[in-house]
Amino acid sequence: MAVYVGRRIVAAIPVVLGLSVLAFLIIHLVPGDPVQQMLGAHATPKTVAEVSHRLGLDRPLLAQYLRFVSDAFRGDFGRSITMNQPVTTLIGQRAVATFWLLGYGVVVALLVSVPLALWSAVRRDRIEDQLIRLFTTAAFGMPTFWLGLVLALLFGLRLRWLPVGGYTSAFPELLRSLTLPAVTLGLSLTAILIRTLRSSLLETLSSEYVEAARARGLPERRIVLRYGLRNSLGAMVTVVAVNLGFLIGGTVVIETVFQIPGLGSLLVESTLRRDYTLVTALTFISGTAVVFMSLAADLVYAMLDPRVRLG
Amino acid sequence: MATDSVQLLPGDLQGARSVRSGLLSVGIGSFLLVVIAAAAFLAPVIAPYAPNKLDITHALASPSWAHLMGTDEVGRDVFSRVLYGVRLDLAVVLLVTYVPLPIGVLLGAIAGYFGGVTDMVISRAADVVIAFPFLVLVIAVVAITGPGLWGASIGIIVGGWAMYARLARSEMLVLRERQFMLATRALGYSHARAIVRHALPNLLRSSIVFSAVDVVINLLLLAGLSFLGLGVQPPTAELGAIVASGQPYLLTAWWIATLPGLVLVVLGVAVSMVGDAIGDRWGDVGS
Repeated sequence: MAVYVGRRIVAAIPVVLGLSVLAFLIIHLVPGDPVQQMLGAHATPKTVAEVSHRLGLDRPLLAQYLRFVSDAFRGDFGRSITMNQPVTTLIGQRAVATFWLLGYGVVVALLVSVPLALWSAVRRDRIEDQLIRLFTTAAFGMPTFWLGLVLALLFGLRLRWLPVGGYTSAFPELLRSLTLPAVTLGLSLTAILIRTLRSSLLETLSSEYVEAARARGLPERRIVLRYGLRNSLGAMVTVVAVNLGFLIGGTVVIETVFQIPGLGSLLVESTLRRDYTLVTALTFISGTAVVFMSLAADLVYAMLDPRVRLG
Repeated sequence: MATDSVQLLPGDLQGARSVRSGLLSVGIGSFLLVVIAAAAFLAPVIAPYAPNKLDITHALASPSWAHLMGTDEVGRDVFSRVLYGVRLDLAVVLLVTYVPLPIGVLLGAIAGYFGGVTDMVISRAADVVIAFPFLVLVIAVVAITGPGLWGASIGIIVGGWAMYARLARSEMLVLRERQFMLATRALGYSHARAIVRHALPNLLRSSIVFSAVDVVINLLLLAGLSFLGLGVQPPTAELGAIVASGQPYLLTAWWIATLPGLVLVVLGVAVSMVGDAIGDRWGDVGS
């Protein structure tokens, strides 16, 4: 296990370094003077020079990169010019809502996907299976922003069951205000989740030890739940983790639709305001989060299934 | 699978039913796709109004025979804007899907063919690009270029090649051990000839199958970016941008956001149905 863990961690290092280089390069690839762009056309050359100096942009490129990496390693991403606050503080304020949305969304996705995938696999190729597969195809082509708007219109504005936007950090209200966004996010993940889970279940249910269990006369219900579902847990953990990037993309859109003050809406706002320090930090952090999540998923998978770490 | 081989007859019957429903889904999908694409292609002919023609006296009119999808806050005909929007979306999506495809396949083929340091550099670069959440990567590119169609397209292309490279590389690793590839070396063919003439035709199939899924992803991505105000800029008609412009009027004029969105949904679902059928039939990638 230790060897496997070590190998996986070593493999992740060049990817994280690559992420840091790309994120670092954002401000340097901006055509023209990035500081002038950030401050607007009214800024005098003197202010531009001052801010460039404060951001360290007048130093050699390699020195700037090394500084960026060592600062990032300590959790320091500099100051946001447009918001006049440390980037880390801003991200800290906004991260809470995004975490709740992601967590709630994954719970919704699992609550919808697991029963549907089970039903689809058990009734393979029957009408139920066909309909569920049609549902996944349709869900895959559904734009999240439209789904969010329609849910907001129906359940928020017409029926008035749930709030249509904003975010309350106190507890029972928090769940209420995040329900529509989380359902939108969760539904967007179900297409991938149901398909993966279904094919994993079908594989398990046609394996020899399941045949053996059937031969011994175990009730089908028990076979599906105890043997099938349990052996598909690893696949489930992996799919959710591997699709963290997809989910983060979903939060960017959904937080904007429902006006939730999270990291996704912060990314959109800072891009529109040309706040390059914030965009750099958010890009780097989201990429790194994906790498760590898939690393964690591999390790969990290895714990669940010894064939992975020994093979 | 084991169960199928035991119960031969039911298995066959199930297979037949599955193929039939697959055909139905392709039929519906391709029909919708052809209708929407034709309407989009003919937009200048069939659109009842110019997409940006203002008519303040008829602002926020609900759907009627004169305005099939109503009018927006400045009296532009939503239906005409949708036709032009689909036209733009389809053209851009084809571009941003099929430009990175050959680039990715070629890079992947080179990585798999040569191995060693070449492979390491290309594979790590693909890993890095894939590690970013796709939307975040595209937004980062838009941050560099400034919001607009140009930046959004560049962003999708910058991120799009990596999956094709990864796919082609893994297939090349198998392919290069095959007899005919070994023969290219024995015959003294150049590396370029071996890769381009002999390996690429074999690598393209799975990439083209995957591209059917990729088209859906890119369509939703482009519309999503424009919805966020980072892609196509107003007043240009584009589905995501039209939906965004209708969001403030959800209660008073629901048609501005929901009907163009519905067209996007139908388009997305149609492409997804066709793409799925292609995937089921010709390969098991990208599902």
